[in-house]
Amino acid sequence: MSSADIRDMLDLPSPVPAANRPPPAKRIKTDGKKLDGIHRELHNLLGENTPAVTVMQSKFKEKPNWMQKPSPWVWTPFKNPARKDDLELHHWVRGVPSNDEYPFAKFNKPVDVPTFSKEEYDKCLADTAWTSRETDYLFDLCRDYDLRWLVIQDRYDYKPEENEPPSMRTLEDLKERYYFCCRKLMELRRDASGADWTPRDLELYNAMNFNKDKEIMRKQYLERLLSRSPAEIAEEERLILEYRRLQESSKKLVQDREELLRLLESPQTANSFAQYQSPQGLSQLAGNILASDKNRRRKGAPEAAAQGGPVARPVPGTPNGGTLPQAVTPQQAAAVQNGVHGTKQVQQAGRAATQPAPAVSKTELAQSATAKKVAKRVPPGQETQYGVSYHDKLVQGVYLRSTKISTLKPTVQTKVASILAELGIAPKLAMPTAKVCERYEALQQAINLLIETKKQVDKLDHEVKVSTSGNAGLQSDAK
Amino acid sequence: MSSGSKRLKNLQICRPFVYGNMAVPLKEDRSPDIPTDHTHSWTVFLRGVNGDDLSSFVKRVVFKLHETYPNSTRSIEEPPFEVTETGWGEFEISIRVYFVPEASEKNVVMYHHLKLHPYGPEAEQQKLEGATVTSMQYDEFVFNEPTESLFEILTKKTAVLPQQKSTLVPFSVQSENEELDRLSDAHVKVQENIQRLTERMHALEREKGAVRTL
Repeated sequence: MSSADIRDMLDLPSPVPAANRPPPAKRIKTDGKKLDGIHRELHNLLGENTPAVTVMQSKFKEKPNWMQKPSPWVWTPFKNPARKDDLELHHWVRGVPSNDEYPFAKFNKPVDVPTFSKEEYDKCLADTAWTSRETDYLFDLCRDYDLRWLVIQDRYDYKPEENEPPSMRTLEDLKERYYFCCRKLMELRRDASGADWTPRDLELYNAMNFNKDKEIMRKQYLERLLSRSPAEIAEEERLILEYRRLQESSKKLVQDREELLRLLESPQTANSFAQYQSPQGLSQLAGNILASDKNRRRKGAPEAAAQGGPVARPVPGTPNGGTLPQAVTPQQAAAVQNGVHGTKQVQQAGRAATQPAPAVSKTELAQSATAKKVAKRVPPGQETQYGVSYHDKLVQGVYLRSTKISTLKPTVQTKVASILAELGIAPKLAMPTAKVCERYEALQQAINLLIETKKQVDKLDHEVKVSTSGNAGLQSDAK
Repeated sequence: MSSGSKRLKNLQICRPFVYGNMAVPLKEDRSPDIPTDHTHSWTVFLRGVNGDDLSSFVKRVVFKLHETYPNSTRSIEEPPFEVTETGWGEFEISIRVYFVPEASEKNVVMYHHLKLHPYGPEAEQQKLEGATVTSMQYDEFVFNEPTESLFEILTKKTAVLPQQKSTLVPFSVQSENEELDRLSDAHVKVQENIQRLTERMHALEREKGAVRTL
């Protein structure tokens, strides 16, 4: 409603043009103007042409018009055409009283309460519980009170005739009777006229489908709902929460079950897993997984599935008592080299580890396929010149030879270091070549052995001393 | 998969090299843009034993100097793999060697303590002389299961140590043999000791047995 409507309703004269005309015009103008920030958002929300309910709060009061003479107020009589009697009332009107119709008369819209003739009543509205007179009374009341049921029920005071039982009508009874009659009348009139209902009629008909019992129950429910104690309300809330929780847990259960079933039906393994059932097998498997993981991360190129070398890779017999610094790889490295797919080879390697197999000498390796390739480039006798050598069980990769001198436990290491110092060997090798490293390793092992032997000797020595002194004590006692 | 990236099983190939530094005290006639508190000019390097060319399989060497040097990470992409600088203090330099892509190997790192001041009985005299101080270390790259391409590269030239020692190349077959001899001697001594101890052990065991029966 714009200010013009409000003024119209309140019968105020139109305002001074200058101050207030621009706002309505302004609003339309801004449609074309560039809008900023909040105004743009508002317009986007409302749409271009919708004049929303705006509260015109002009910050400034109207400029009082000093020039005009004040218009007088007149005590005017008026009549309300909506009234049936000719009641004349008075009110103050500003300025010149106009003889327009009383503006509030148009609000007197009555409700459409149907009327029916006696024939219609006899045809379809006859009812054991209701007499014709009472029904008419009811309808009159409805008409008078505009179908306001509470009022009707309150004012319902039917005075029955002598032969009729006294009427105790509840609100629901009245409603039921009224709606029943209306529906029946609609049906009758439709059948009579032959024309089918409009959708609006159908709506009306369906809306009047009054179910007394349901209504009574509904009202009882509402009563009960209203009259709950706080304790009851809290309990109900708790129950609802619990119910929801139960629902969720049951849903989760179903999901877990589904997942388990899916797992159970997971794809079958290609190879048999019998080999992985022993403890060695398990450790092999763990090693395989670890190594394959490392391989996948380290190398982009997939490992060659075809193996060039011999299949069985038992631990080589150590030629001269010293272990090769390069061949200190565990069985799992062998498994790695065989590739994760080569289960047969793993089996063989596992079996070979448990039985002492004949040592594969270096000459055999030298005759392997790799060596053949190598031999093309390097004349066989000159391998050392190129620094080429063959080993079992190599961990792939590059390293500095100085880094691969094996270390022992720290306590042992210190003892070894001190002995080395005594012998005049520097802790850091001056020239870590292959041979030198070998010798150094051998030396370390020997020193280790020496330390162990010394320990044994000391222990025995001590024991002997103890027993001899004990014996001596006994002998002296015995004597 | 090309043949180049296939790895040769059971094969190990190694290449010797030398790394270290040389240092020379700065003389009076030094260029003015060296800060005054620098006392030495030094060069840290990584090179082949005979002056061999490592760039056939070494792609780049990264020397990480002390943080106080500007651009303390020096990356050398071509031979000679060395960094020359001036300074006054000794610190640890990390040397990271990256190999050529055909090798498909990851880098190796080694550490070298920069030596500026002479050491040993003739230290004072050497200081006075303004002699060059060197600190070098021999080492070998060991490639386990090299790729075929790397193998080709490495077998183009032999890698043999020089026979004799010389001042420029202090690592040679001769020095290797010296070390071997030292180690062998030590080993022999240790074995003797072990022998002795084992005999002693047996004797003690016999004694113990004898004492027991008493």
